[in-house]
Amino acid sequence: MSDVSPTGLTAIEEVEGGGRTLVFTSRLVLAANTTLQLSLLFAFLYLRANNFGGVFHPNGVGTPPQVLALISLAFPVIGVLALWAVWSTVSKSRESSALGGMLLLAVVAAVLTGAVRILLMYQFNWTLNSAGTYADLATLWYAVLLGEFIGVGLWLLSLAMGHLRGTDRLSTAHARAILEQWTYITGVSIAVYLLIQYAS
Amino acid sequence: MSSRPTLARRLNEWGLLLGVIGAVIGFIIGFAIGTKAIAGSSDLDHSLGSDPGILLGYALSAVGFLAGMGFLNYPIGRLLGAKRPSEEDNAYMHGEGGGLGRYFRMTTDHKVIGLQYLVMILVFLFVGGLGAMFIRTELLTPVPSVANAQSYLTLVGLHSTLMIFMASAAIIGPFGNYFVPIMIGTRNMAFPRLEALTFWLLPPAGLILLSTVFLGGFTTGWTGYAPLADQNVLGMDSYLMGFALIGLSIGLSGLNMIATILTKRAPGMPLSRMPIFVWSVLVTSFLGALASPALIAAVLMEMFSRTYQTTFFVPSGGGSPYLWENLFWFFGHPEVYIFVIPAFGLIMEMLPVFTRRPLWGYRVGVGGMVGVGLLSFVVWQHHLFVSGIAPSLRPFYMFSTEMISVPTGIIYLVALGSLWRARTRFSTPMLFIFAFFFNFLIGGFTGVFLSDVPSDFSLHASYFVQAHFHYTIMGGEVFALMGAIVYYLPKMTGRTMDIRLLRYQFWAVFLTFNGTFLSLIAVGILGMPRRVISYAAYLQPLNDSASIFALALGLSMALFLGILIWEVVIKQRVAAANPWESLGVEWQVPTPVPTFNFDRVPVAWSLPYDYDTGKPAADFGPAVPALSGA
Repeated sequence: MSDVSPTGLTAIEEVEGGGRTLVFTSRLVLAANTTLQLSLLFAFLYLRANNFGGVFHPNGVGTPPQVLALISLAFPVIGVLALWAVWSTVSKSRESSALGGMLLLAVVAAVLTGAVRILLMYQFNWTLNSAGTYADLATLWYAVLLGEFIGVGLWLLSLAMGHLRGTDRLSTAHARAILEQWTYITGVSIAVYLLIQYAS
Repeated sequence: MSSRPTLARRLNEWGLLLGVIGAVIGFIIGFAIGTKAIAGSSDLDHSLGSDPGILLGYALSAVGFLAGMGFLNYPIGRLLGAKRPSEEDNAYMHGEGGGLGRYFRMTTDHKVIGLQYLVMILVFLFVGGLGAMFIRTELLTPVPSVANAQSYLTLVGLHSTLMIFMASAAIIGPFGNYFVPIMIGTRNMAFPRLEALTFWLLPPAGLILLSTVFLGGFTTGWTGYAPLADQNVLGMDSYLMGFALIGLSIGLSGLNMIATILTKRAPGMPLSRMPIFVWSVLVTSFLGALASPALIAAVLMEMFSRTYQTTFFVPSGGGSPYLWENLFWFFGHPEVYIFVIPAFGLIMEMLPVFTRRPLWGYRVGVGGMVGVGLLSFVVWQHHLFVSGIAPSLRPFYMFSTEMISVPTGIIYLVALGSLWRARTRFSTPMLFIFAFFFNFLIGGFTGVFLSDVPSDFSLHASYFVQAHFHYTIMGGEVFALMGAIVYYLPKMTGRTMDIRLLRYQFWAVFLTFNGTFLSLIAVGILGMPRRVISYAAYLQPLNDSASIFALALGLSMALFLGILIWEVVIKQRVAAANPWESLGVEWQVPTPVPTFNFDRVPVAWSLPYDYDTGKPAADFGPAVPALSGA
């Protein structure tokens, strides 16, 4: 992709936008995602504050298992570090043989993130029609975050496969955009963990 | 070009058929998994299946449809590390080589997508309009005559929801997609596949919604209020899935438009010289991208409630119906401006062409639209004045809502300023422009009463609200849409409609529209609630007046469609290259528009409204280099 002409009129091909377009759009996605997260936060705070029927978080309804919840945060953090290393390497135009390894590490972290979070959701052990809106919202929020991790993870996998198979060179814009996406979701996950675990 | 098309390309030729097959297979798989494997189905009416089965069936049918259309080919190829599509493949996907088949498959040409949108929206508007005719026929008598209360409510819900779905894309879909890239001087949208996706989400959304009639319908109207939504039969699932797909389409379309406008403008075109229609699309796109996630959150909660018995909106389970109302209207009120702001943009785009004067106060007009967009995010609770809002919040939302009349008034001033001492040509599109301002003025005035807490208390949920809404959306957006179809059809198709005949049609639609909704304003003031099948006998004369005008309105709208089909499809009346003598860049490129929009590079951009000097919006420089492989 060429960044020389944003119109594509002098570039040979401009099908998916240049690097600037990609990074900009990725940030727009983050902004839209923020609205989604704020909607869920509003629901959580509103229901908690009003505690309708006294059953926001009834007695006997526990929180998600602590150890597993922490592990589910550790892997995304490892992913952030790996993706930061990828971006750092690519942005300095280094032809590093370790780039493939770093990408693989990020992919493994993403796979483990998804796997652990699926396992975590199976460990909630809530009967949703009687566990109060705390459990309802926690389940929905974790499901939304799981979906987002899977979505970004698939994007990461496609970038890694292109690089590893030599069919596509990883651009700085792609490296930056995926780092920002993964970091954002990781950050939100940590905030949601704290909210669900300690602010109910 | 290669003489041997790839398998993917050969399959793409049959995209629509494969999409339908994929949808059927997806539904069967989803329905089976949802019904058999997901526990906790609700204890409502299960004679036709279960909520998890229906919802998962719908979701996988949409995925299957898109897979059949070929939307998954590219991402799966990337996941497997396959080579990127060749330039030849990209050119094919862009529709190079032409042919009618482009319109029935996935394509990345924004012009083809614009026309696909136009046809799809007209079809669904026609279906929704038929629903309105049935409603008004039923209301000719004060007691139920044709329908019962349940089927009447489903009819009202179907009409309103389908119209809302289509209205959200009625202007940006056809005209935004077709003209924005040309107006800003680029070859294509920032993400052409995404653009195609936003269109192809529409048919499944509309059809899924319509399928509610096979599942018992839904009684909530387009607002889907809980806990009624929780208590509804399986037809409610159609509403939820349809709205989820539309929300996705609106959000993705917004992201793509913003990225295109802000990062792909031609060199020499600062924001301050963008055509005002592009500005309206930009403002609207921000609304769509930032508001639709709130709708998706609400819809997800309701889907969870119907499949896993969560209690987000049920007070006895710790929830609150007020939560749905807040999330829904946080999306729903900006949604109204998603309808109207592009209409403002189109009107201000067309106005100088017919007044033969520069657009008066271009920057002020842009400011007006930006102001409307910003304020639209802080007014949503005026929908809740009588349904749960804390009394202390009412003054703020009353004030913020009434504030919207300020930027709206500014847009009116721009229009009036443009008319001042104008050499106005009263051509048919100009008649629609005048009608837009007349109708929207009534819509705006009636809106003031609804933003005012004391008067809203007596008018809430009455026909007054319904008439106000139709004055703004139908009187505003749909009149702008009809004017724009007449205006832009020569550029989009190379064909034109009989302008003389359309004048009669215009007066018919204008008079019957006002006859219908002025009657309903009166009915509302007299206290008739909306969404009811029976009413007090003394309201029959006004209801009959509304119904008779409405049926005539339906006929006049059908006449518009008839003229369109006869002149453009059957008779193929050839249009002049620039029949309105516009200076806009979209009229400076050849018709039909070249595959990649420009055969010469546009340079030296200026505001496209320089009718005092007659200078076009852009000069054209050297020839555009051909795409390799093209």
